[in-house]
This record gives sequence, C-alpha cells and structure tokens, in this order.
Amino acid sequence: MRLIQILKNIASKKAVLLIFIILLGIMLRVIRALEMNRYDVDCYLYFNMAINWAKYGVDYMYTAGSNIIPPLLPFLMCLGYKFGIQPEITGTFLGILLGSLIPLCMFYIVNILFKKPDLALLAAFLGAVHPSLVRISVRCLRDSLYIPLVAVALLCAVAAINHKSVFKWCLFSLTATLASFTRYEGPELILIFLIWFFVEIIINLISKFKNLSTTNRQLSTVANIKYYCYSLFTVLIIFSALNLCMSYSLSQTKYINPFYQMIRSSITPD
Amino acid sequence: MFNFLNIIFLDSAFPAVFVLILFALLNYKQIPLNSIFRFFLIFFIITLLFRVAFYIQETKYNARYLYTLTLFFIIFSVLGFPKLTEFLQKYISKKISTFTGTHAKIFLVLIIGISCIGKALSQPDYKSYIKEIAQIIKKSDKKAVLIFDKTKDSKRIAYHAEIEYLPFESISDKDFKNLEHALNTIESKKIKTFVLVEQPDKDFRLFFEKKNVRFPLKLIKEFKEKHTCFSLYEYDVNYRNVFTN
Repeated sequence: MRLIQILKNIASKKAVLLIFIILLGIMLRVIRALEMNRYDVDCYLYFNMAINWAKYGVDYMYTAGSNIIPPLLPFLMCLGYKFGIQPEITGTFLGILLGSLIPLCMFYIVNILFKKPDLALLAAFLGAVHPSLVRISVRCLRDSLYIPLVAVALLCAVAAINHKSVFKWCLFSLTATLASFTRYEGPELILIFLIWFFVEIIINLISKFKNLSTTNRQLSTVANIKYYCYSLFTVLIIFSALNLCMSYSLSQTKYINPFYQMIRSSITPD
Repeated sequence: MFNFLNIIFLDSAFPAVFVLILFALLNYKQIPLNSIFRFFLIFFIITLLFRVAFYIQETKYNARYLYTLTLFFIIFSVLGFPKLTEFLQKYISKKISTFTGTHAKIFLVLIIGISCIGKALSQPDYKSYIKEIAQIIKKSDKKAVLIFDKTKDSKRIAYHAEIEYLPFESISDKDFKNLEHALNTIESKKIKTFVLVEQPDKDFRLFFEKKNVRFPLKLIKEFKEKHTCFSLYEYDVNYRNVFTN
C-alpha cells in the first residue's frame, strides 16, 4: 500500500513525470541507435561532404556528381570530425539530443493551447514513443535535425502568440532560419507566419468595423495590429539577414540559397 | 494517391494515434478557436500542400518527408483521449463492474505505449556483410579500388573501408563488356583491385566458361544473406590482358 501511495505522489507531480517521459524518450532513441548497423545511402553523401570540408576546405564540399544540399548538417559533422569524432557518431548524437526536445515542446504547446496539464503529459508521452519520430532521430539524416527544429519553432510561435512578446518571434525566426539551413522546405515556416499575419490583420479589422461604438476594443485592435507589424519586421529582418550572411560566406561553392537568388533576380533587371 | 494516404496512416500518424484523432474529431467542441489554433491550421494546410506537390513531382517518394505532420497529429490527437476512456469505461464496466475511469486511462496508455515502442524497436534489416567486406579490404591495402555491380552498397563499403570505388552495370548473358571496361580503366599495376558481384561463385564462373575465357579473378570469400549471395574476388595482375587474347 505504501508503494501505491508513493506512486500516487509521483503521479501528482507533473514535473517529475515529465522528466521521466523525457528520459524514456532518450532511452528509446539510444536503444534504437545501438540496434542500427547500417545507414541510408544519403548519409554517406553527408559523411563524405563533412570529411571533404574538414580536409580541404569549404570550396571542396560539393564534389562532382553530389547533390547540393543546405550546409548545416555537413557543417556540424565537419566540426565533430575536426575534434576526431567520426561523422556518423556526430549525426547520431545530434539526432538523439535534438529528438529528446520533442516531448518537451509537445508538453508546452498542448499546455498553452488546451490549458490541461494531463493532456499535455500525454502529448509529451506520444512525442517520446512515437515510432517514426524515434526511428528518424537516429538515422543520421537531415530530417533528424529538421523535425525537432520545426517543433521548437512551433513552441516559440505559440509562446509568442500567447504572451504577445516580440522577443519570442525572434527565437521563432532563428529556429526557422536554422531549419531552412537543413532542408529546402525550411522557409515554409516563414510562409506560414506570413499567411497567419494577414489572416490576423483581417480578423482584427473586421472586429474593429463591427464594434465602432465601443472605444476599448478599438484601442486593443490598434495595439494588436501594431504588435503584429513589429513581429513581422523582426521575423523578416532576422531571417533575411542570416540567409544573406550564409549565402555570402558560401558564394564560392556551388550552393545557391533560394531566398538570396529570389532577391537578386528581383533587383537586377533582365 | 493511395500510397500517399497509406504513408500518412501508417507512418506519419501511427494507427494508435489515428484512433485518437478520430475520437478527437468527436470532441471538436473542446478546440479553442483562437489565433494559436489558426496558426496550427495554416501550418497543417501549407505543409500538406507542399508535400502533395512534392509527391506529384518526384518519382521516388520517401515516407520521412511527411514526418513533419506527425507533430500536428500528436498535438490534436490528445483531445481524443478523454472521449476514448469514457467509451472504454462504459463498454467494459458492463462486464466487469469494478472497472473505473483511472483503470481505463492506465489501460489505454499501456496499449498505446506498448504498440508504439514495439514498432519503434522492431529489428532493422541486417546487412552484416558490409562491415565484413570493408574489414577484409581495409586489412589488405589502403590504396585499393573496389569494383561493384550494385551502386547502392558500394558507397557504404567504400566509406567504411576508406577506399575508392568504381560501379558498373550488372553482367548480362551475352557479354561482360561492362566488367572488362571497368577493369581496363585501372591502369597502374600496383593498385590492388577487388571485384564484388551479387551472384554465387558458380554462376559467375559460368559466364566465362561459356565464352572459353580464362577466369581472371581469385575468390576470397562468399557471403550468404537471407535471399542474396555475394562473392568477393581479387583481380590477379598476371591475367591483365585476358580479355583481349
């Protein structure tokens, strides 16, 4: 009976349970990593890129015949290789480290959205044990970094909307930029933000025209629109500045940043 | 399109999570219609549209492109949990009277957890010959070249053995010009050359016997996996001009 009491005490403390769930997620990923004895064909491309970068420099990263991918994962593997760690070990470690962030993100998102801590714990549990998330974490691919980064970006966005803070939109923009450095699908997060921005502005304007008599609501809608505009500027400035810096530093290689290409084609007339 | 839906059902949303999503649709009144929900709705629509566009364009589609949607599914499947426990409790308490709500919750979490962990830790495909071959080559010489008739595994073996590789298309019944061409490209006599084919040793020798050509390779080892058989050879330098003579 005493054991049941202790278990009930633990179950009543959400933080302890959350830590246990995160540990479960890490444990599952480590077991899966020990089970794996081979890597996907694409992985060997990244390994060779990282080794070429470490041995000969950035300009030799994209060798002949290789796909041209955004450079975050090869860069991290190259850093590891310079410290004497094999690229496959670096990739697996990063996957496990970032993959264990998913339960935490799920917990906070559901807690903010539905305001029910029990359901939030269930979401964290699902994030820890979901088979495709566990499997992708240890496969050394770009997706094993991309999906946790998207989860963190979503958490930042949700927290920013909830607390109405511009600083959290900066964090969102930073993670979205990192996601766009891992996969070409990354800028879709910025696109989602832009569409959300226009939808919010339209909804606020409609509510303003409907309630012309009530002055308080007018003030709040004006403040809302101001806040949305501030967040739009910060997100776009951070995203474009980081992208331009990256594409400038890699301008000698074959890598072409799609965002940079878009701006350059719009500035220079044909 | 059926394949796309199949990936969404089996991989992106696991069946256990899919059941929760169905019950979450019954519980739609709990969804708050605020700006956070609008953000997630836009996230879902845009990512799905992008993935469908990729699916139409690309011939070879990987299931992992759709794993971004898993995050959305997890967040909204959670709402189905209270509805499902209610349903379970009603159904089972008719037969077992002591079955309460907490029992139903524990039962459900156990079922979801066991099914998910079972899928997550199921045995991956085992290809032990990759590291075996790599070690054999690595022991002999560091400046060797590997010639291989299937490009997929040659990359893996070459990376683990830290050598160069040269793929060629598999031998047909009529001639073995592909192999001949690949062997002739290696000019220097000092470089060790390995040849790996996805065939038993007997079948591979038959090609040469049919054409009355002396077999130019020396067998090192045969590797047998479930349905496939690999044989590793070393190219003998003394037989270099065997094809032309």
